[in-house]
Amino acid sequence: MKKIKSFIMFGLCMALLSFALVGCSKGKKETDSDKAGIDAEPTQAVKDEKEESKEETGDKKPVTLRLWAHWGSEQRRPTIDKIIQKFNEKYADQKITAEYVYVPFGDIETKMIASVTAGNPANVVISAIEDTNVKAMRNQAMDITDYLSDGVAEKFYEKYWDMVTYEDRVYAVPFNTDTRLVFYNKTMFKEAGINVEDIKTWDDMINVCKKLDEKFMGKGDYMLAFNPVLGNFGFDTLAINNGGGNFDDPMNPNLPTANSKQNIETLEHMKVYADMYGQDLVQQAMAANAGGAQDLFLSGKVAMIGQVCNYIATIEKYNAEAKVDYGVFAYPAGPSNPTGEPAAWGGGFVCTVPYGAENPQESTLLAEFMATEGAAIWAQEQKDVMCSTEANENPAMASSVGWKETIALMENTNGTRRHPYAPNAGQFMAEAVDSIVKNYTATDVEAALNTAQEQIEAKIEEEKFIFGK
Amino acid sequence: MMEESKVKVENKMKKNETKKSRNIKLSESIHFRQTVTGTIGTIVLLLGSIIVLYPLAWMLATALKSDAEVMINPSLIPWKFHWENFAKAWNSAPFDIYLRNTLFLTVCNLVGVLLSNTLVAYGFAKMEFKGKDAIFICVLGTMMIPGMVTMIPSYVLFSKIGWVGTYLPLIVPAFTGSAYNIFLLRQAFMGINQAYSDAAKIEGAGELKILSKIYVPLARPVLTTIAVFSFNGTWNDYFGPMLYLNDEKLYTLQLGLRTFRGTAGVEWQKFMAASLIVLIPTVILYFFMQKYIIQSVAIGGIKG
Amino acid sequence: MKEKNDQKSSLILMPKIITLLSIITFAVLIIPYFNPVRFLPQLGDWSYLYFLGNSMQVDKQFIAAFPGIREFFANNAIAVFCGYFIGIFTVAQFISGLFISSKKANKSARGLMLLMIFSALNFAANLILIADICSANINVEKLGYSQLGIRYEIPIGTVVFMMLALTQFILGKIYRKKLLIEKGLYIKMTHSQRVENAKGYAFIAPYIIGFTCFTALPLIFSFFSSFTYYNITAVQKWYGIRNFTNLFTKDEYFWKSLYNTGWYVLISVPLAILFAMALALLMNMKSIKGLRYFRTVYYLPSVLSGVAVFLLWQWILDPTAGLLNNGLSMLGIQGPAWLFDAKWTKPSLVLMKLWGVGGNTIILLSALQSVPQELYDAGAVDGATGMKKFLHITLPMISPTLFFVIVTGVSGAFQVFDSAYIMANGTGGPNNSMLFYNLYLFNTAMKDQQMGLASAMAWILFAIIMVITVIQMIGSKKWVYYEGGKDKK
Repeated sequence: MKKIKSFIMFGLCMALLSFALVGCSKGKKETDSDKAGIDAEPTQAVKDEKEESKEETGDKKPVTLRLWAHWGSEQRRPTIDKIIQKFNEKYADQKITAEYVYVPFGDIETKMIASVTAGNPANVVISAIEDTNVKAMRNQAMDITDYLSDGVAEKFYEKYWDMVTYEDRVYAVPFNTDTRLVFYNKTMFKEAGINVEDIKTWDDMINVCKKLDEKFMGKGDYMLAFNPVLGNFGFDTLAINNGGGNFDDPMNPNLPTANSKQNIETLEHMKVYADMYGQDLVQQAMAANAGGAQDLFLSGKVAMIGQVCNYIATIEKYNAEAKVDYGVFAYPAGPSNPTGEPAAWGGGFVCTVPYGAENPQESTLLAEFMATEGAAIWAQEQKDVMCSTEANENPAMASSVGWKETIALMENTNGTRRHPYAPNAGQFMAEAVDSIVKNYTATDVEAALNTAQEQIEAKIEEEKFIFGK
Repeated sequence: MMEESKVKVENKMKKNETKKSRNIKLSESIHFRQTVTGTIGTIVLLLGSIIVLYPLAWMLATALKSDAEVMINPSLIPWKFHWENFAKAWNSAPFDIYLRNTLFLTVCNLVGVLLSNTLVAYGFAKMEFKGKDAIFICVLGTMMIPGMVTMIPSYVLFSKIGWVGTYLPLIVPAFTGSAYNIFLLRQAFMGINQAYSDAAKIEGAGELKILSKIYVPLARPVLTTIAVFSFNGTWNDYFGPMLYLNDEKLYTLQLGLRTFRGTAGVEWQKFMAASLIVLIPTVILYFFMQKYIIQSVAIGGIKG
Repeated sequence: MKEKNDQKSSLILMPKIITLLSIITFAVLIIPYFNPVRFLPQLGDWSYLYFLGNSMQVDKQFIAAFPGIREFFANNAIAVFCGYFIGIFTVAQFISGLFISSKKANKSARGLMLLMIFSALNFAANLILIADICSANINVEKLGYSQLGIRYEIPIGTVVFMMLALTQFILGKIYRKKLLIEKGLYIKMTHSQRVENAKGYAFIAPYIIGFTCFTALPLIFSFFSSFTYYNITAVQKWYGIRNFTNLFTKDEYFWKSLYNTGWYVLISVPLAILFAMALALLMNMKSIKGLRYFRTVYYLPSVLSGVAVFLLWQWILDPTAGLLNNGLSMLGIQGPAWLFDAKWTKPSLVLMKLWGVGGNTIILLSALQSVPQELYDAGAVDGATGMKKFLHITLPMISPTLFFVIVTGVSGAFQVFDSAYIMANGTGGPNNSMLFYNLYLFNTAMKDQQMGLASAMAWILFAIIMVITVIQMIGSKKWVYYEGGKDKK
């Protein structure tokens, strides 16, 4: 009897509970605190809401903005502190203060993604320029088109403004950029009787290298004349120089062109270097280069090296003992280069406002300031190439060797954007290239590039399927 | 087995007293053999230590080189000894603040680790409760999941309770025990003879008393080892502080070390100098803690 | 007497009731699938999903009929996840329910246990589903979708399932208790046993609290993510087991990374343990001078951690100017290109690991130190020499710690990441020879931002390590000797 009674009670409780649940439509505590499913969409609705709430509040509340960047070294730190100070002075009456937080390079992306997912990101993050479109597509960068001040687009070189625009909306403000040149040892050139102006074609480069090797090989520390895998050069610059590249349109990548004629030519050219020096020598040079502590160029191990333009600052710093008389020139245009003008690949950084950041209006203000007035200060002190037009008129740099050539090359320096459906396509290309010129595991250029092409295409197909396209 | 052996020893000892004279020659040869093995061992260890120390010597050498020299001189001896690099490195970022922060974090973690792991390991080793084995397998299991995939959900979790930006995500988990330490301590506790705790129980001691008065002293080597590991772990922890701290005033030493790495390359000599400075406290701690790790267990035989 | 009869009859009745309930549950799941009678349309929709899978290609006519629910299930990965598992649990419940009614006592008992587990899980899954639906409704209101007429109703089916599962669980518990009483096996825990039980839980409470608060949710979420396409910030779509099948069939790096990791584990763990053991034995000898110095020196490398060490080793392994090749050339051997030669990259990492073997050395050393001297004396008296002493005294006494070192060593080696990441600069090294499983996971998670795939990989790794650990634990009963054990064999 007792048992039956308890059963009935139990049944009643269950019935009550079930009614309560079926009727439930709110107030149930979330058991799973991270749901990214439904929240994938309307930026517009959220933005409108935020705009409304801002207009309602009468007087301004003090706003603190956080800026995350990877500049922590002694070289960079004072400049960014100065810029932040200037910003704070300028906007003190509007009660906007900015704070700089150093986040180690390489982990800043991770931190940004984590904070965006959690909903409390910083206000401005300095990130790489080439995946702005991917960030936009993946809801990691905020659409700041409506928050930008008027006429800000004109302050920048058009091609960089294009890089931060995705589907006609702006997601970041361009900050600095770079280009790649060949640094050469003037003393060695003179001794070998080579004139820089004579280097006009890719074959010229090879001949120059052969001459230098004849003269210097086996003497002292000399290892080799030049190899594009050393330094900060690589396939991308040479490919652009030859009218090639990973995709059909660097700004709006759509179809992969891994195995295009121009790319094959480029890789063949790189292979010439690889064969000229052989696996052992090249791998030794790479090893010496990798630690970073033994600079190949400054210690006379190579006659020429491909590097980013910031290398000028590095040389000036460390050249006190080595005293290398250096010069700079742009790698000559390849045979398939459409215009005949040397071109290069340029990376760079932009000021992104992460998705979901608070105070988007003020954040955009900070981003703009960084990229315009801040950029001018940065250019002077850090001797960097900026995306803002005014900042590049920099008298302080004019005296450095190589600055002129850098500015000249900027005309033809282009970045490339990542393909939204295959953002890591570069890795497949890198593997194909490395197998030929670094690891010496393959010798058929065309086959390697064909494989890369297939891999990229497969990846795009897969991603498109996910997004239902 | 042990009881029998003890009895045997006692018997033999009596016999040995009469055999003393015969045994002198024997002991001489044992002594000789020991010296030989000892010397060989010493030489082996010495050679090994050179290999082990070389990389550190290299760090020191790099730290002492000048800016320009670092790029060109590959040898172990710098051209000039730039001792000021150490001072320069220390002053290039607010390392004193970082040091203070790191000390704070480390001490908190140490306390948490020692407290929680001892309790939990003792529970697994000596107490009986339902589902003990299943839960222990669970504990082991958490050791086997790569942390990468739980990183973002953890971050979101901590963010929702408002702990991101503070030290809490870095301290509180230390008070909840970690699989590695629990496992290690459990093995150690299980290796301590049951007779001790039985004797204490008979005298009416409670579990906590048994734990603190008997097991902890007996397991002191292992506990010291865990303490040293915990100290090192927190001292060298980079990822946790990087992810959870948003305010530079809270940063730790490892984060400070990263400032020497920029996109334009690494400032090698300062980086090495700072790394060496950061290394020193851990070495000092270990040097002093050694004797606790290597305590000779005086508590020997158990009668009956 | 009447009571006894009551008991006996309920004993026979209960299993039948339980079995009946589980059949009903299963029927509730299955029948609407055949769709003969659409008398509970909501039930039908939702169980339809469980069995037809691929929620992304859902029948259009259902969308027309019940827009809210369809869309909800099609887009909501959590709901589909719960749905699948509810289906699995229900089937399991059904099978175990059948077992309960069998004549064999053994089968019946096992069935009972399984039923209780699965009904509890079923209940939990349904609860999560309901929570998900409720929170979805909160979102719907926030985003203003409710004006579009979208609203998520809790399917009656879910509630029905929940109740059925709960009932079965409770009935199962009661039945079990009765069975035990009947057999006289029901040992009510004595007071002191209860106290001991409670004390045990109290001691491990810190871990339990920490686990439930900080670890459980992320773990469950990552398990759930492995069945989705999860882009971290943009989208989380149900993907079924495609992550797993893609890994095993289409992925070129998966097997390579498994191979690399397996190689590393097989070679580095035994070597590292041997080294650590040898070092610990050496340092345990009383006849060596300057032990304190040696102990510090050998421990130093494992204290140095982070980037500095790896960069250091990059220099040491430099083919031309590095110490290693210079030393080898002094002996007349031409050293290989270490980190640049695909054949030698993994051995380089093993070398580096051996350098840092100090950590395990002091663990083993402290274990060696706690072996009581009398045992050695007794052994000497019995005429044992060096090797015998080692095998029969030392090894057994330190076997618990040795076991620990082996298990953690294997588990850690499977998860090797830091060294490969920095030495190979984030890529997989020459010819992907340094692409270890964890590194590949990291690249998938952070660079590709494919968290779903990465979660799948993580759980595969977990399964592998778990299996190996369980094997080790079973094996440990043969060779690990616990001095403080309760005379276990």
